[in-house]
Amino acid sequence: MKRKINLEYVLPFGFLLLLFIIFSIINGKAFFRMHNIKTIIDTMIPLCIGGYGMLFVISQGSIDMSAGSNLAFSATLGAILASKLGSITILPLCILIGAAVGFVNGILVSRFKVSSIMATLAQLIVLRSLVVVLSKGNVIFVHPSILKLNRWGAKGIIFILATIVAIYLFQYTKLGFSSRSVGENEIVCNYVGLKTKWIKTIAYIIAGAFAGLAAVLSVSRIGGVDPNMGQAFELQVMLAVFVGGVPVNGGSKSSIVKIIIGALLFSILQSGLVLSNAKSETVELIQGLMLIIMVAAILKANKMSTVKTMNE
Amino acid sequence: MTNKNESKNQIFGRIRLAILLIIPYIVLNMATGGKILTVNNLSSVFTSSVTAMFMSWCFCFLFTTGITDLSVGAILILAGNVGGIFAVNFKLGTFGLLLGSILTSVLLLLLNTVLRHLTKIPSWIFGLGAAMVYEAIGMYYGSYMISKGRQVVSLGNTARHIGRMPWNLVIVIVGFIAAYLLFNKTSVGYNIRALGSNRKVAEMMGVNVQKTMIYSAILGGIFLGIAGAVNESYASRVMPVTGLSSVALIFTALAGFLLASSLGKYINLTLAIVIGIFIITSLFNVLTIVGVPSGTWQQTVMGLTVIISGIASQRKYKGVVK
Amino acid sequence: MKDILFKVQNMNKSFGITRANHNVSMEIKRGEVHGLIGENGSGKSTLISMISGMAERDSGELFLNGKPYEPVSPLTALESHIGTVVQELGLVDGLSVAANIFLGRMDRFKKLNIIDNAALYNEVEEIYKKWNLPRINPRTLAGTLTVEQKKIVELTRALSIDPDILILDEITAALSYNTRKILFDIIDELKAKGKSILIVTHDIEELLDLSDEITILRDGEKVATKRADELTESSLKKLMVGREIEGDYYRADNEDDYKDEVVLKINNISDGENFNEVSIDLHKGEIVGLCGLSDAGIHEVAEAVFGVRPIVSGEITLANGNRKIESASIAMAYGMGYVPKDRDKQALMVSDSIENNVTLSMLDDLKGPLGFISPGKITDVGKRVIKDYKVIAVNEKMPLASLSGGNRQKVNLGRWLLQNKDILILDSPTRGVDVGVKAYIYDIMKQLKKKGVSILLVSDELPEVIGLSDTVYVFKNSKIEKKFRRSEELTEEKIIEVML
Repeated sequence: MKRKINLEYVLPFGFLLLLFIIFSIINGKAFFRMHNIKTIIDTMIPLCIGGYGMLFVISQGSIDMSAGSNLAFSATLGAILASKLGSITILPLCILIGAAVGFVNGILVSRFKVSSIMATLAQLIVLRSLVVVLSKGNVIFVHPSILKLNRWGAKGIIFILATIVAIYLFQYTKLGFSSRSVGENEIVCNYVGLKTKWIKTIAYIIAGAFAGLAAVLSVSRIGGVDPNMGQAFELQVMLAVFVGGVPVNGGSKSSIVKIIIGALLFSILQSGLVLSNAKSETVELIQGLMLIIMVAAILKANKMSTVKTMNE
Repeated sequence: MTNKNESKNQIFGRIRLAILLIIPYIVLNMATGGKILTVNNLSSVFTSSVTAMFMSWCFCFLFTTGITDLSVGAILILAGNVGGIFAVNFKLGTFGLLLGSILTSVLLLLLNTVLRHLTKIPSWIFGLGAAMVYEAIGMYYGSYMISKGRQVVSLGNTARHIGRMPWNLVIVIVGFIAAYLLFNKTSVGYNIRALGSNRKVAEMMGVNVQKTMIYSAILGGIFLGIAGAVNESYASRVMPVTGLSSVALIFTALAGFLLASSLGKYINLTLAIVIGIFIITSLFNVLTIVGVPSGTWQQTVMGLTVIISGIASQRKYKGVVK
Repeated sequence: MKDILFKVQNMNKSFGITRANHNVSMEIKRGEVHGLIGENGSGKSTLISMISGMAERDSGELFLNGKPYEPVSPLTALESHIGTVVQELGLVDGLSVAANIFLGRMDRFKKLNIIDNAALYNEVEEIYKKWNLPRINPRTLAGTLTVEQKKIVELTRALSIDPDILILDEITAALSYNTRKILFDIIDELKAKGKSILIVTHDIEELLDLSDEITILRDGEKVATKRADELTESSLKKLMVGREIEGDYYRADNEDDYKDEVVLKINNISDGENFNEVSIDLHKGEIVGLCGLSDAGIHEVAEAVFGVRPIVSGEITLANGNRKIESASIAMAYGMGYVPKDRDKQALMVSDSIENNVTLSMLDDLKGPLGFISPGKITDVGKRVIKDYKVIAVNEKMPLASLSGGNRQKVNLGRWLLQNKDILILDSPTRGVDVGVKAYIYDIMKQLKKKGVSILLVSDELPEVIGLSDTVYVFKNSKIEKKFRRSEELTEEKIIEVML
């Protein structure tokens, strides 16, 4: 039996390899130094976590533009509440707040049928302004004990746990299966008795919860809450997701592994460019081009594989 | 339903709507001690609506065909700056401002259309990528100017009048007539609306999709270009931004467009846009008069407005939403 | 020997490996009605879409009046005086009737680049008068029209160019009796003027009645062209299918036969739009058939019974546990299954694998501890469906897009059959399926009935409904008009009388 070449995995992998080679040549030793590797992993972890959550939404064919503002909002509200309830509570608080925000998104999209782009864009605006209101524009410092979470041990454990939970939920439960199926054809899911409204809402809740977790990591890294935190986070997560090979319209080809590949890709690109002293506008230019090219390539690859099987 | 009943319903609906819209103004005017319904205030509200109105008309031609192009904000910035360069550096004045801005918008929207067609990517994600690229271009221009010890182009005293009364009123009237005729009474307009309503059927009936998309980009670009020119004229200088902040520029126009679409049953879309945007801008005006500082709660209200308009325009929609 | 108006020569078109049209040739004579018939998938619609400019051909030639005819778009076809009413098109809902009739050809109404609405509406009225069509206000928004009205508008569009050839693809089913008469008058008028009509219909009687000459397609190829008076219904069917249709195609028995126990009670339900006051008792082991014209509401009733479509009054109760069906998930959980009418849009995820499609409806059954669903189990189910129902596919991971219509339907049904459902709702289960698979499906239905499964069958094919059902409910104007019991005397004519 002929072995099928899965272009949708090969492309991101190939790209990853390419970047690796390019940047190790351009940046030489600096690329392989511990400092750079730490930076790459540091960038990768929150992207992965945000991506795990967003994957549920994207696999259904929707989008969540509010992830970054959600991160900032959960962090801000979480920090304020944690200062009153005890600093350990910041972890569960942020996750809960993030989930609550996700719940609102879910209701707007599933119950009120607002398109996901409009609904989450609007949330982005509302949440951002609430962050400014809550923090009065200032940085809020948190209890130093929270900084402990930024240590490698703690971060590593959180990351591994999050990954295990994400893989389990997405690849091995009814929820994940249903999400991908909703992305393939939502009407079919309705006709088969699946509660699609609920599936959509849960996806947003999960996306929000993971954004909340990313918020905690962010807070522990900065040592506090900054009203500008999470700016463009949703953009970076989306880049990681799509450049990692998840199809734009979601569906059965969505998977957690692609998130990890994409986050790694993004982080290597980011660190490589920074090491090369590239201007921030160059970074944005490359990111924009990369997004368009990758999405188009994956789309083409998936189409070609369907046509191929039709001709076999 | 017979014809007579239909038009009676229409007229009643319009009258009800008109009353519904005018009452808040009267009430709020009394509540704020007469500060709203003054000529000064109303003209300032009007002036700050003009850019959004033209952007919204751009959406009429562009978004109606089913495209959601979020790079429109970044294009607005570039268009304004190019217009400024034409006006000041090439010494072409107001004519140059409009020319530069319109050329830029039309060219970039056409580029988007062609690339979208070639890559077959969904419009919203293409828009995000394009927005990043166009924002980066704007920033390159900004850095370049800074390296020369200057800032991005500023109009100074040139071509400042189209951003203010009474010239912007003239432009809006001309724009409205043009938008109304183009959207409702030309074959291109019919084709664009057909594509937006039911693409497959329109195609099978022989509407040339590619040609129509190109026309919608050109027409949308013209209105977007005017928006860019008015914006530049009003502010004198438009700074480039990064990190998709340009998307924020679209919000008022978008909320207005959604609101106008939901009023579509009673009022023609091109007219509803004028009304819708004026209402939204008035909302902010009221908040400012009442003392809510701009930038914080005002933004919250803005977000809520988009949500509510979005819900309202979807109420009759029975299909699948993503 | 009448003059040849339109010649089709060696037309070929393939979609991937499927040869939709293979070397199809035919001639349409002036002043004649030429019928086109074939089983689903025989290539009729493909051929018509190429003639009307909606699809490009791979190879072959077309000749109009002896000259080469190359339609690059539907508008070219209209310009060449070929008007087509396609089977499943519809209108642009957001535009007016007049705009729909003249979409793409508005230029003639332009005054200084602006469209003169008065002239537009006037022209539409003229066309109504000329062809004696029922008048639909040209200003009306197309989205507010009924199915029949939309068909009439499509017909108006086709007639608006004064066609030399009028192509009608399955139009009669959507029209009321009166409108059909008007259509037949139009056809007579066209013939008298020396124009031709190409008509496609599944109604064999109607086809033999109307046509002068009939071309039969099978599996993408032309089988024969014969004069209508040389054909009988059964000789035509034989040509369509290529073999004798066995008597046992449907059921062998002639009387209704089911248990007394009521399994599902449908009590006076209405959805406020498509059907009213529908009451049906479904018994154990009974096959209930619903039939009616396309807008009679039968398909919507099926949706409502499974809980997909909300009802505004009445209730649907499962006898087992006295459960009210209020949503599809409840229906699913209590032993009901539903095969929707539109296979590729409502029933199957076409670009997803066989195994994913089949297991979609049984996720709860596959759950292990902590909600774990093993990919191994999913593959097993996929393999079972392929084996049990003889699905022709490379393996269970193949996307459904690579399967033929008949095999897709097997997967579609297999998904429910594997779960031992007590009540199955089947809407047009043999639509778009070749004769071999049709017989297979009927066999399955008979076996299910023997096992005590109750089936609600909704179908546009009267022979199928008559052949399989214990009880037939005929719908008209959104209500149940009459109920028939299975008997030898029940014929298509009796039902049609009630249906119209």
